Amino acid sequence: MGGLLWAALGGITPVSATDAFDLSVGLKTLPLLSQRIVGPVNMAIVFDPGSPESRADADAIKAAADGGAEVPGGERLVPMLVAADDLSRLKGARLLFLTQGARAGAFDAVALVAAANGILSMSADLACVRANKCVLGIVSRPTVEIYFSRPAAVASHIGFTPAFTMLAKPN
Amino acid sequence: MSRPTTRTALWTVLSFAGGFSAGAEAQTLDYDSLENLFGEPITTAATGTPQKAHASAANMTIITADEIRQSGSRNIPQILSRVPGLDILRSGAVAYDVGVRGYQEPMQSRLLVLLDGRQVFQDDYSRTVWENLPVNVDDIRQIEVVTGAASALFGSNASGGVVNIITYSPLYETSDKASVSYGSNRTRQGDVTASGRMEDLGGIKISAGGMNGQEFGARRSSSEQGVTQDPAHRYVAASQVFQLSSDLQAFSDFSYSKSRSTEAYFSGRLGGIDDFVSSARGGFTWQSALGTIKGNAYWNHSRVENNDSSPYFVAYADTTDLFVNQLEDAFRVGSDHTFRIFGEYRHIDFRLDAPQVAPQSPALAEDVYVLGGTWLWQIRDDVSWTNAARIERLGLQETGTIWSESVMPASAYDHSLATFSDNSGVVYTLTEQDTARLAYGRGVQMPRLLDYGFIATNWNTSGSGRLQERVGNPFLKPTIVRNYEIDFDHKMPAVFSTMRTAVFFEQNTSLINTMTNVGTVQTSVSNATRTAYSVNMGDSDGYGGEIQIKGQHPSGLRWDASYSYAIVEDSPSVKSALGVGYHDSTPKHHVRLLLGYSVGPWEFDGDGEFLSSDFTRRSAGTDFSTYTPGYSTLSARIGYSLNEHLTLSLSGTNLSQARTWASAFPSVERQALLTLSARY
Repeated sequence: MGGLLWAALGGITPVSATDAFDLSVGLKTLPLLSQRIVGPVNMAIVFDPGSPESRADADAIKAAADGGAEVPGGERLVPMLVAADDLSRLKGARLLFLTQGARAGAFDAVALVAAANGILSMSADLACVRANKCVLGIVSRPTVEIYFSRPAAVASHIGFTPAFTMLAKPN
Repeated sequence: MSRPTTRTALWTVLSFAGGFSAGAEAQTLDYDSLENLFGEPITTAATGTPQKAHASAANMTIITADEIRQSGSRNIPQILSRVPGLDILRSGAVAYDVGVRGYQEPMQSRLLVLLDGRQVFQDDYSRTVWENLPVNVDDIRQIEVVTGAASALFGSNASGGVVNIITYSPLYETSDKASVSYGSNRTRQGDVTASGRMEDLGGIKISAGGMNGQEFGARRSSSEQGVTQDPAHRYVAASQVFQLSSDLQAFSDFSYSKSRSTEAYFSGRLGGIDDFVSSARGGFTWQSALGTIKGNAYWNHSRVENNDSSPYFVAYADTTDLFVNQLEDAFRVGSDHTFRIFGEYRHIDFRLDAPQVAPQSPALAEDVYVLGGTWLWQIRDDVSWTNAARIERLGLQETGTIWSESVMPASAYDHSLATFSDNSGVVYTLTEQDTARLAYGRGVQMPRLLDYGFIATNWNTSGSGRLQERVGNPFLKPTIVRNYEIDFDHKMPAVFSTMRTAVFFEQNTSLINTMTNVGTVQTSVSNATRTAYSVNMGDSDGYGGEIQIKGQHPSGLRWDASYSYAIVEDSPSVKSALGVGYHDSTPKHHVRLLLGYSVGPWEFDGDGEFLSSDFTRRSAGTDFSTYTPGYSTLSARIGYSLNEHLTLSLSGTNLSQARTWASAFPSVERQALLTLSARY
């Protein structure tokens, strides 16, 4: 399914690389899920194989994850790179981190698969959350801001604590 | 004796039947995770909905758990003394009153104090019995201090400010701590907190502790010596929070605390007071399609026993039962508007257990109905506007019997009044480093229950032999406090600091003088019956400002320097029950300097303060009217972590001299405390 949708890829978004701090901010939202993830956190880092920027961003996120990124609560983080045209590999993932630089058509593919599998999706590319395709948009500098898409959350059966949804910015 | 109304019972049953509760946000908020995510403290204090601290529309200081530990203090007022704008009046070894921007007096009424969303401010004398709070200081996650009128946000009596004490939530955080302390004045103190969590299903926490010490040995009159007693405290508290479903949380808590102290009454007379307070609470938070709905119901039962025996009065006790039921809904409209609407019903029974010469058995009941709301409008990314309003209708009722010859017949107490309070604040984030805040608050300070319903007759044994009658005054108007304020915060990352400044102007109207002697009447019991009751005495204005520079260097060095300035101008008729005007009892200047350094297992902290002169009065048979010259104090703490579980610390207060003459009340003595703390 993901592969079919991938055929409708759009343009390339300008990129500023996702770094370890962005990743750590994303991971810090996990304790605020209304149903917390218990056990290893399988995190899919989804990239656009046709975009060098996206690929580079994925490598940067993977390096940050392998470099000691911590999940609050001490759960083990298990990162895996997943190409956007091979989203069948997303099964088993609990968390999806979409790279920057992915073309807009990838958002639909990611949203469908995340919704079908109840996966929390997030990205530092705010276009994804603004399109209601990702649940969370991450801004870590100069101050932390989290953008929240309620429609995407509902579609993925993802809930957060009331306080978090009050503090997050609506998309 | 009056009983809670059917409505009270129904509200309470409904709230508990749900199993649940809430002032609730305080108890059910995962502060740790939110602070960890957003990189700054989170508060619900300004709007009732969670906000980042810097975006709060009120002037707020948040004291963190680290700062509490580093203070070395085992009592909350000493910790609060670090907050610009707060002044501490100490009348005994454990007797503190916390004043906000002046208006210093014993049994301070202007500061509403909440513990996890439950009022611990006591309505009898309108005071906070700090030494009676059922809380382990090590279990406090943060203390939020709002300066300026905040009645629309928190309720009546938040006329000068609010202290919101928040402990660790057993649902989200384990809190297993114990400590034992030994120090001067034969101080022995112990506290323990144990918690248990069932993953995300729920958590339970139990705290218990106690303290014994010795009252200050300063000079006292013979009458004071008769009422002086050594301080003691015992408490136990339990709380439970459960995640019933992904949308529904419920909690309940219970506490019992008793304390003994020697402290000053509002009149400046020292007395020995025993306080017994118990509470029960339940509530819920439900994330519904209509928003976040919270219910909160609690009962506070307090009994105060005064061993105050003088020619002018006899030992007495009073009992207060407070039932509070709150329901609120917080919701968003669009992306820019957050609303909270709330309703509240309060019922209070106040009973005085005093020997009565006249044939009467008075008891007073209050029913209060409240409607209110807050509206946060995020006008732009960098500008927000918060508005809050609260309307109250209070009905009084005499539920006991009153002497037929009383100057205030029983029917006079069947009286009602309506009040409103509001708050408005604009927060403008000028740059990444600069935030400006413009705030207005209209606060309401209700008369003490004592003012409304302290009804007693006794013989004056000092020579006149006349009957003395003290009656309530149900016609008192509440004091209205209007606060206008401009704040400016500036981050200085180059020097790892933040500067905060505030200037304020405050108008107080209809201030109350408690139990003024108002005349003599003829009765069948006595040829001359001297009557006293409380009156509205006049108005007063205050103005001033605060500046604070606070920071921490990655090397472990930390600092906090602040200066507060406050001036109070009273109308000619204003003299507090203490017998002095607020202009005189307010220290104009307050300077604080805190320095700390952490290196390896060591923590070093020092705290110096200077307060300028003021004037207080102590009534002790012989008057101790006292002009207190400016004075300074030094405090310090050294902490050493023996391992990851155990910390040994030595702290001291008033180190610069053996006795500090800080007010008309007994001199404050130098004290040292050795504490062994365990986290397990």
